Amino acid sequence: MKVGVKYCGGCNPSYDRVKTVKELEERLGGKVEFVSWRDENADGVVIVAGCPVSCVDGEPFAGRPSWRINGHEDLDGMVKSLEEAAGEKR
Amino acid sequence: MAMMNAKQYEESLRKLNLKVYQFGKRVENVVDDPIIRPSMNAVAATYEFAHRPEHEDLMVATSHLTGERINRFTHIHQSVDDLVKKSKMGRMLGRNTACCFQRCVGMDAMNALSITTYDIDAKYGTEYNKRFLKFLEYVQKNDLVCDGAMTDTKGDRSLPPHKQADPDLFLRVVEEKVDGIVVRGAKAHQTGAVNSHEIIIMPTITMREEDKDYAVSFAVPSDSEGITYIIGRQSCDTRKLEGMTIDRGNMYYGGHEALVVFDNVFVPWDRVFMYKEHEFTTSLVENFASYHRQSYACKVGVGDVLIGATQTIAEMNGTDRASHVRDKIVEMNHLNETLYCGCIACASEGHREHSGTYQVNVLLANVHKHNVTRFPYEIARLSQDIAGGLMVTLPSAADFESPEVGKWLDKYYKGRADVPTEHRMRILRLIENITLGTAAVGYLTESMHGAGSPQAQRIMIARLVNMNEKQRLARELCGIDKGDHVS
Ligand SMILES: Cc1cc2nc3c(=O)[nH]c(=O)nc-3n(C[C@H](O)[C@H](O)[C@H](O)COP(=O)(O)OP(=O)(O)OC[C@H]3O[C@@H](n4cnc5c(N)ncnc54)[C@H](O)[C@@H]3O)c2cc1C
Repeated sequence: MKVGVKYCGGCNPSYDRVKTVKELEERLGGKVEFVSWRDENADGVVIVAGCPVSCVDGEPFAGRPSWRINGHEDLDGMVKSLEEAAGEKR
Repeated sequence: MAMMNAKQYEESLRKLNLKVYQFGKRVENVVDDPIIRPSMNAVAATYEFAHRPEHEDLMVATSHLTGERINRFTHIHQSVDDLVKKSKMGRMLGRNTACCFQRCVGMDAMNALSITTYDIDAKYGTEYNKRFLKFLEYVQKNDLVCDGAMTDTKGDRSLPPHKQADPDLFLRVVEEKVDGIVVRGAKAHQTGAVNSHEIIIMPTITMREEDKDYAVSFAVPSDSEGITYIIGRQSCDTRKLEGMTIDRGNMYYGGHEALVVFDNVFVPWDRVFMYKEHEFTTSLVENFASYHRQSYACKVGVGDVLIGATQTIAEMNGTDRASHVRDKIVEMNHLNETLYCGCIACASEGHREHSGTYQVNVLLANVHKHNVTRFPYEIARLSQDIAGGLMVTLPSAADFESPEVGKWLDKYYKGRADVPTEHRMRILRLIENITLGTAAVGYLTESMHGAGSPQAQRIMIARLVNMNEKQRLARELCGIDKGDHVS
């Protein structure tokens, strides 16, 4: 499964967003390929926000599956959600 | 042309032929000059970050002129969201560079001109806005840095421009030609001037009829004939000549300011955005000042770094668990986040001007900047308190490397046993850099005077508060006047 990554701008993030996406990728063990959010072939988009304000506008992704990470603590849940989505895709 | 990256920006600067002086000598290679270079790096970050997925949401905007993706520093705010993103971008860049990244002054000048040129045209049927938008499109297409040049040297502060002993102490028109105008004067304290492709000139103060030759706004390429830059000294600047030693404090970034002299510079008419319409100088000055007072969001980002450095040195010194140290760090955060409240609030309460440009809430922008004239000083004081005296008595990096005395420094300047002495030195040098070295120019004195000295904000606050309404409420609630109240 191909998933686009869309970050917030990072004005004052409470965790290292880029590192967290790398961690996510590793934990998914190749089940999900992360690409730019602009990739139209992506099956969905992970929105990575630095804090619970989660200011990224979801409008451009309306109609596509999307998931949000607002903190490092969301990582476990995200691994599960993406594993499930990848399983369904197969 | 698409948005430039850091390398392309650097290359674009190499094509300029600027006349720059520093330490009494002409700087032949501005881009590689070791004192200027860190300031170029900081501007380059504004280009590079626009290409990073983790920052583009703040760094990139959509041009209202062309619909193309552009660097936000060349954008005219089209919504409250744009204004909020500008504040957030300031914090983000401040925290990533720990210095002045220099590009906001030009952005603020362009946004102010988008409003004032429109308003002059509406009154006089002139074509300033059309000219300005053509210039703006050129800036956006080529992703340029503009120096926003407002501050004149001003001579005797008690006298208006036309009464100065030397008429050039405020920049003025000295000749009108068929194809343009000739200007003379100088602009002081110009942030990032020699990292800029264009200079945008605005008047410093409200001009009256007698000063109408000074009521002029225009843009010229930074390497125009007749322009000379004289780089300002910063405390500890020559440490940058010592190579990449830890004594720099900030290994990568810095800022610079310059005196920019205009010695009979020609400006073609299509680059003139105000010409003697003195009654619009207040509008231009206030619109620019309001945007620029918002721009001090960057100091919150620098504050983030200073607070991080202070917590780190406390841990290295073994004082981080002391209750007064914890409390002082809470205070630093409290002050820093209070600053953030101001720059977010003035943006969130923004409004649409006739031109379509969004302007910040002017009262709140002034309150924000007024806090900025104070809080960074207190944050710096607390940081120095926690850091200890070593940040000002530390021997040089060369002494640490000396085969004779290096071992003593390594031994006696150790803090907690598990922390290398060198790490402790590095963080102390960073605190020194921000609170009294080169970066203190931006973090402290620029916080005081940039976008106007404190009194300028107090005048605006006095003018803008709705005092009559406050009095009405008070008079009604104590029963002096009758009101529609629940009883
Ligand atoms: C680091 C830094 C970067 C800057 N960058 C830029 C830039 O990029 N572009 C730009 O255009 N400007 C820039 N400025 C200039 C800034 O806007 C001015 O410093 C500010 O407006 C104050 O002007 P001044 O420095 O001439 O001080 P002064 O005007 O001399 O002020 C000093 C004191 O005198 C008081 N004072 C001045 N005039 C009067 C008066 N008539 N009556 C009563 N009191 C008075 C002031 O309130 C203040 O307390 C920068 C300044 C700094 C320090």
